[in-house]
Parts: sequence; C-alpha cells; structure tokens
Amino acid sequence: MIRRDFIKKLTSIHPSLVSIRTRKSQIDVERLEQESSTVEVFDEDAKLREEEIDKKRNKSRLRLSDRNILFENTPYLTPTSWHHGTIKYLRKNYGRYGESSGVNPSICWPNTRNDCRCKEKRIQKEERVRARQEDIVKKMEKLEMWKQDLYNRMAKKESEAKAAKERKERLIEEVRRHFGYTVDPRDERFKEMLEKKEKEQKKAMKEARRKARDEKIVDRILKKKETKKNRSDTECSGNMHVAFQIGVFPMSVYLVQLFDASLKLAMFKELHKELEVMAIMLIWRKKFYEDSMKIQQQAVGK
Amino acid sequence: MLYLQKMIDTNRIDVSKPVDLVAILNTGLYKLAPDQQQFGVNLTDDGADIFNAKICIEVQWASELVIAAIERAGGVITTAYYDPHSLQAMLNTKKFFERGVPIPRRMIPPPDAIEYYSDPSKRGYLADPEKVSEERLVLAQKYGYNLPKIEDDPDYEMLTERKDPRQIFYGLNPGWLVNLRDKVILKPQEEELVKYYAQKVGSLRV
Repeated sequence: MIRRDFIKKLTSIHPSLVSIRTRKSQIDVERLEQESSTVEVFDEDAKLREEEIDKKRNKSRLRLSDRNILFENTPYLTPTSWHHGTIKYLRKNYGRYGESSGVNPSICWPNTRNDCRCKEKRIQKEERVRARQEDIVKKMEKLEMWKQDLYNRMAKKESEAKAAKERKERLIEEVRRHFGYTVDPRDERFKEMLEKKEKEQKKAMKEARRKARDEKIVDRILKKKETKKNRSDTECSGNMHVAFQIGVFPMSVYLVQLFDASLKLAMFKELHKELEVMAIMLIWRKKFYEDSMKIQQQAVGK
Repeated sequence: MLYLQKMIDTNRIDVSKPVDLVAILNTGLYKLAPDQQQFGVNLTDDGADIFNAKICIEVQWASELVIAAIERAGGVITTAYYDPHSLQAMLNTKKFFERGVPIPRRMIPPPDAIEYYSDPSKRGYLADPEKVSEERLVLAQKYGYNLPKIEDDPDYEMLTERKDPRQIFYGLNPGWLVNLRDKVILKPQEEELVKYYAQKVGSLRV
C-alpha cells in the first residue's frame, strides 16, 4: 500500500516535469535536432557500457553454449565440431531459434540442383549391375562345360589311383605266388622281389607304349601310301620306297625284342643257350622279311 | 462416440471449428502410436444413440451407424487417410515445426485402403462430393431420420470445410515452413519446388 502511494507520487512528478520542459522550448526544430544528435552519442556510449556490464553480470561460470540454451538462444553461433555443419542440425537450429540462429532458411527445403549428381550415381550403379549380370550370363553358358571338365578330371584321378592300386596289388600277389607262402610285405626279400617286378612292369608298359606309337605311324604311312598310289603311275619305285619305309620302324621293334631276349638269357649265364639265341635271331629276321613282303604285296594288291 | 461426446461436453474439443485428428490429439487424452501400425481414429458406435453434437469431424475409419448418428445430429463426417510421416507431424506439431522441415505432402492411401477412401458411402475424402450428398439421403432413409439441411445452417461454411487430399493441417499448405520463434511462414519460391508441392491427387484418383 505504501509502495503504491510512493509509486504514484513518482509517476505524478514525471509528467509535470516533462510538460514544463516542452512549454519552455515550444517548437524549436534546431534545438530538437541538436538534442537528438546528442541523444545518439549518448546511446552509443550507453550501449558499450551496457555490454561491459552484461559481461560482468555473467557470474554463472557456465559454458557459453549452455548459457545460450538457458536463455533460449542459438547455443553455438560459431561451429565447434563437424556436427554443427550438418543440414539436419542447421534446420533444427532455424526451427527452434528462428532468424537469430543466423541460418539461411533456404536449406530447409530439398535441394533441386543436386538431382544431377544423384542421377549420375544411379546411372553408374545401374551400369555396374548390368555389366556384372552380363558377365554372369556368359559364365553360366560355360558352366555345364566346366562341370563336365571337373567331373572328368575327378573320374580320371580316381581311375588312375585305382589302376595304380590294382597294379601294385597284382604285383604283390605275383610275388606272393612266387614265394609260395604268405610273406610279410615288409620283409626284405619281399621288397626286393617287389622292386624287380615293378621294374619289369614298367618296362612292359614302356614297350607297350612304343608299340602303340609305332603301329600308329605304320597306319599313317599306309594311308599315305594309298593316297599316293591312287595318284602315281609308276608302281615299282613307289613300292620299294614304301617297303623301305615300313622296314625301318618295325625293325626297331624286332630289335628291341631281340635285345630283351638276350638280356634274359644273359641273366641265367648259360652258354649253350646263346646259340639258341642266334637261332632265334635268324628266325625273327626271316619273319621280318616275310612280313615286309606281305605288306608289299598287300600294297600292290590295293 | 461416447468418449467424443464426453470430450465435447467437457470443452476439450472446440466444436466451432472443424475437428480433425490434430484436434483430438491436442486434447492429450487420445494416444496414437504410428510405429505400431496405428493410422488414426476409428470412431465406434458406442454412444451413437445419445450422440447429439453438431460437428464437422474427420476420422480415419467409421462404420455406417456412426456416420448416420453424426449426420442425424446435423454434422458432417469425413474419412481421411494420413500416412505415417504425416501422423508423426500431427502427434506433436510444435516439435515438428521446431525440426525446421517444410510441411510434407500427404501421401495417398495404400492399394488395400484406397477403395475405402474413394467410397462415397464411407464418406471417403477421395470420393465425389455429389455422390456423398446422395449417400447422405440414402442413409437417412435407411435409418429413418430426417436429414437436416446443412445449407440452411448458419455454420454451413465451417461444416463443409474440407482439407485437400495433400494437406495435413487446416490453413497450411504443403511446402510451407512454419517458424514458431519468429512467428513467420516461409513459402518456397523455386519453380520446381512450387510445382512439386502443388501437385494434385486428381490424376491418381481410382
């Protein structure tokens, strides 16, 4: 109550003072201008003073950002981390603090110019996907072939392994039969015999391969000869030529056989058998000659 | 409907303006969880016999009896669809505006719901208004009440106020940026954006 009266007194004094002043000056424009100019200067000074006082007023020792939040101002006017530059954060700042946040409101709407980049990216992605799919299609075509290859390889490996196993088992069986009783495979003698048998087997395989090769060559020559025959007029020279050709390669086969036989005989070291060898050689030579003649006749006949 | 009547009677909802989902959510009494596949208000026929408030209401689902009850009382009912993004914006509008995102366009209903919202007998927002008025007569005949003439009603303008199919809030268009701090509404100037936000649903109507 007392306060109210006091305030009333104050308010009542003020207007009277004001009215006295105006009555004195009346309508003095120059004076008004002067006054206004003086008032401006006054304001600037006052402003600076106010700022200083404000700074001193802040005794909270709060972080600047926290104080701003407390007074519902933009917390970070200068960005301090990468997060303050993200569009989401800036939009939020504008939404909460309006113009005073210093954010350009145009960032709130979706960017229409960036569509080109998005489109490019999309096109590139599609291109990559398409290329990969084409690649896959090509490979799928070969898939069956690869599958077959794989199966063949596997089957071959299996068969080879099986064959080797069988061969070994047969050898062991042979050696066992040779010994007559069940011998321990790890026994020395057994091992020796096994080695010998393996060598023999290898040799036999080699010979077989060589024979096969020679037969192939013979067939080829025969075919050639036939074609030549159809074309050429002179027969005799051709025949002789062919006969000689035939003669060379099979001769080697026969020679090998001879050599092998002599080796075998030599192992047993029986002299009288050597004579037999000679006889055998003669027989074989004759056989060879007869065979070559046969082939000649066959060629002539055709 | 009983609940709605109660809210109206206790002045939770202002009947002098059109009532939509935002108004119901702003009462604070109605909970909605869009992430649990909840799409809005399903007005049931609980207190249909004692309902007598003349309101312009917009719900997401209403049965025939409910529509009849509201129209008998002299009101107008519409069924409208809001997609989950719009629902989130409506749940807490103040928070949405503080996000600094322009108001989005409301999406059209999914294929299994678009039939319902194009049906005049369900008062769908995508249906032809002429057919809707026909259906009003039909319903009145079916349920045996006199259909009040809303044209003669002094609140005719308010009762017939309807939102655009792409509009979420009354009086605010999609694309506008509302700032509560400065109390301004910013509208986009760029051509592409203006075109995008001004697109009508008409071409997509089933």
